[in-house]
Amino acid sequence: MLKFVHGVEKALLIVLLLAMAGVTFVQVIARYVFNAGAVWALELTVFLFAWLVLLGAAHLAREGRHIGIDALISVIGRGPRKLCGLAASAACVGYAVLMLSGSWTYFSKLYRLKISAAELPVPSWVVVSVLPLSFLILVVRFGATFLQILTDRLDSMMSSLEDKELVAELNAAQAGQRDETAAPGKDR
Amino acid sequence: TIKFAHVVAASGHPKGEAVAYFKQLVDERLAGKVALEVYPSGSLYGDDKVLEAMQLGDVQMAAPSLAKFERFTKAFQIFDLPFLFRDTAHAEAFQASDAGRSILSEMEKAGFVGLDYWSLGMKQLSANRPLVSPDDAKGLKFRVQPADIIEAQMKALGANPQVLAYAEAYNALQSGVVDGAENPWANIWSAKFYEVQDGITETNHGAMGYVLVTSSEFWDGLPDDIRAELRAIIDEVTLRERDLAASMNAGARDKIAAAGSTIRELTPDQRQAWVTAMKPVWDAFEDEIGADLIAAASAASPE
Amino acid sequence: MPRKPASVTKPQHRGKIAEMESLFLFGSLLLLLAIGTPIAVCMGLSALLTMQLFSNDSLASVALKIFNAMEHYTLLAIPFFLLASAFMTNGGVSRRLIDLAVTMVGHFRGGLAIASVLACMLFAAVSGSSPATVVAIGSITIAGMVRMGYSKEFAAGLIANAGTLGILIPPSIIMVVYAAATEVSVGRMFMAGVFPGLLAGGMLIGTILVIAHRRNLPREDKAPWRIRAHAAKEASWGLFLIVIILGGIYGGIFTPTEAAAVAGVYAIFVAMVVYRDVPLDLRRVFAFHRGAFGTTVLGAAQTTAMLMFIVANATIFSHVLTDLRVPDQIAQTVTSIGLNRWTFLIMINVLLLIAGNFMEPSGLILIVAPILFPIAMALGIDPIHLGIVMVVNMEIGMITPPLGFNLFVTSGITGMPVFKVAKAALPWLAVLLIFLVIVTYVPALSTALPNALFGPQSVQ
Ligand code: NA
Ligand code: NA
Repeated sequence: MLKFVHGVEKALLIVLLLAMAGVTFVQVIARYVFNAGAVWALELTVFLFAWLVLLGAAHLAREGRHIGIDALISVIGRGPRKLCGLAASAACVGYAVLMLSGSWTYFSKLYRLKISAAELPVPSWVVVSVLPLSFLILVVRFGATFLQILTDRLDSMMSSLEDKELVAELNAAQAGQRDETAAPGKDR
Repeated sequence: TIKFAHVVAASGHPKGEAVAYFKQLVDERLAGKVALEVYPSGSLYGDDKVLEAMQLGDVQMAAPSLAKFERFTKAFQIFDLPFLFRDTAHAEAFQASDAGRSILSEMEKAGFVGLDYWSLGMKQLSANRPLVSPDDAKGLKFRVQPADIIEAQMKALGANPQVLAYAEAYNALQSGVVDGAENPWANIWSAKFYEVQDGITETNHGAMGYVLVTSSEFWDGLPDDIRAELRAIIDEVTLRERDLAASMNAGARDKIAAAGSTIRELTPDQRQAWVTAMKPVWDAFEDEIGADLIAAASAASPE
Repeated sequence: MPRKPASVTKPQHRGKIAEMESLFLFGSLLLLLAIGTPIAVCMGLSALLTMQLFSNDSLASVALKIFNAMEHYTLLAIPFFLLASAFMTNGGVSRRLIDLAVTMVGHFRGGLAIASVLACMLFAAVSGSSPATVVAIGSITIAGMVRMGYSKEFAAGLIANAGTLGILIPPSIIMVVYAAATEVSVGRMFMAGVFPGLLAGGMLIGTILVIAHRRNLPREDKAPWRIRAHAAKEASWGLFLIVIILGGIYGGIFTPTEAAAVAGVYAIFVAMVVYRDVPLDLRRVFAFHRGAFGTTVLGAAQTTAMLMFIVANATIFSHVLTDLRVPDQIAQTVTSIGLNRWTFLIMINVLLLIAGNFMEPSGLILIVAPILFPIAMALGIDPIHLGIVMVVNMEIGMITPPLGFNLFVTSGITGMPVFKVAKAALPWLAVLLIFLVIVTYVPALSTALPNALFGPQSVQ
């Protein structure tokens, strides 16, 4: 069940990004080929963008892939490191709770105001509903990180940053190229 | 404390200078009672979000463009109705009338108090080729602000409206991403659009301006004497703002001409051709805006 | 429109409080950074706490602001450039660019190293990100150089540095962020990066030539023109992206954001249809997020979210700074010490070189640009020149510990510890520092091309 949710999450991010690029690309084609264009396209793209970033931020928290500085915590002892990890993840939970509370107020204000987006025929509250949703997920996931550090299942928020954070997302690139590394001029 | 957020520079723009004057008067007459903090150049909130921020109580006053209020009350579209107002004086006369005031009071249900209208100036059309008859605009791409009525207006001309950020507008006009634009003189001068356009056609086809707005919660919560004093100050500032807008637009028009750009004035017949071409927009938006209101606006005249 | 400092004076007592508030804001930021909190949260939380303790602004306004940060039209270019970058890395474009570079310059002494820098420059011209450039080029060339007898330190240090060109040679994500923060034109910024990018690449290559001569570095066989032509033809699909991006913007076909989207769609086309290195597995339509195509898009989406979440939180941080009137105070201080434009630029360099050690570049730009920009304008500094100076500082920040993205990815692809990569990058860093001095003192290097193409910058 959880695995299915995570799959949906990834699929959603992929669809959001492709939709953004697609809408913008179609706008360009529409302008040149059909001398036309939709005034709402820009607004739609911007909303997709906001959804991509906020849901993406929630997604990254599960994988522990928000970037941070591990220089200090990697040189201190195990005990202090655990303390730092607990403090850092507690800070993250605090952040997410504050943001959730603010998002909820903002969302409910817009829900009561009943105004629509500038161009799209969608109520504003629907558009910003991603705020409370994402920060709720963040509260849960940062909370889980805190518990994992507390129960020693995780070393710190930033465990082995250099392999995990940036490289993991480009792993596919390396996998595709690893067999080529032997021949940087293979055409000869 | 009043936080006043706006998006233009603190000087060199009628709104920016009016707000500075506003602050000066508040400091003189309400010293110790009201402090006005000005946040210019979009440093606190942009025009799109400032109304929401006001609802949340983080900004007390702002003066966003008229077009930003169309989300709350469709009647605001009247200022974009092409060729309804002859000139700024005509628009200001309507704004001062009961009908004009009634649009402001419609915002109360959304929790806003419209304190007054401020002016920016009449819109002029420009493109990278001469615009004399409406046919000249056919097939051209115009950079517009996102608004249904503006889109309809451009389509009525057979032109193609494109929404672009203001910051990209100059380069887009220069490189040909879009062919033309509609702007008041002051903006054509300050953003140097005239450098990349084949002259400016003096169409005066729409009124651009702002609404000085505050939230009902804040305004109603003020002590009566302070509210009365603020109201008096605002009346003075509004007059000053309109003078500034008028003189800056006139000055900008002269400077654009002096810079060697062609300014095309339309004969009554030529102008009528543009009016006829854009007239379908009136019919399309009559229901949303209200026929009575349009009639009242047409009839308004400066005393 | 350029931002100008507010012409507002505050009652005297506000100054002291604002000082305390600023101290709290930056103090909590550094503390959170030190204990390993994610950077986005560091900026967001220190801003939130400062607001809660010292101001009446509501939490709801922060939610509004964070959503608003992503409604910036200019920033839309970022996901698109990342999408293009992901497909060009996975889709075989990077390999073909390297082949081309090796056949062209491999026969010089130190040829493989020179070709690696050239390949970084070529990839930088189609990608907007520095770490992506390191991965795309470094994951192939570092191993190649080591096999040819170069030391691993030499290869890793060189690529970590040459990869920074990713944000100097257009397109550039950092330029997009700078343009969004200061409302200068992205197109102008891109054009402004061309000459400095060529110079920086040239300086790196020149350094290699000197070292190659001294250490007698290996050279490749000279490739015949037939092979070169073949490599050029193979790489041309990738190189055509340069035409799409720069030609499209300058030729008036696209806005920069649209150019980015077209580049993304084009890169997908090349990877899937032309090179067929990222096949679309039709049997897995219902699990498309697990196929090669899906994971490539997902990678771009994740990088977008990571960067933009930092940017969004930096917006809150910057909002609190504005609220505290810090920009005004700094402006007053700068005016009172009487800095001129050159001393001010030195100050910017020192500030950014230090801050660049600890901060993520786009978040840093978003925080400092609104503060420094109005002062720079008042001192008569060209906004485009200022932007390039900042970009070069961000390049250097990417190869300095503790937080240097290029160090992390280089470490990832070589298996060397981060501090060893940092040490290996140090000699090349000297080249970039000299380059920074040149860029700072020769504004024309940055401004000549955009001014020639778009006309002089209109100063308002
Ligand atoms: Na680049
Ligand atoms: Na650094």
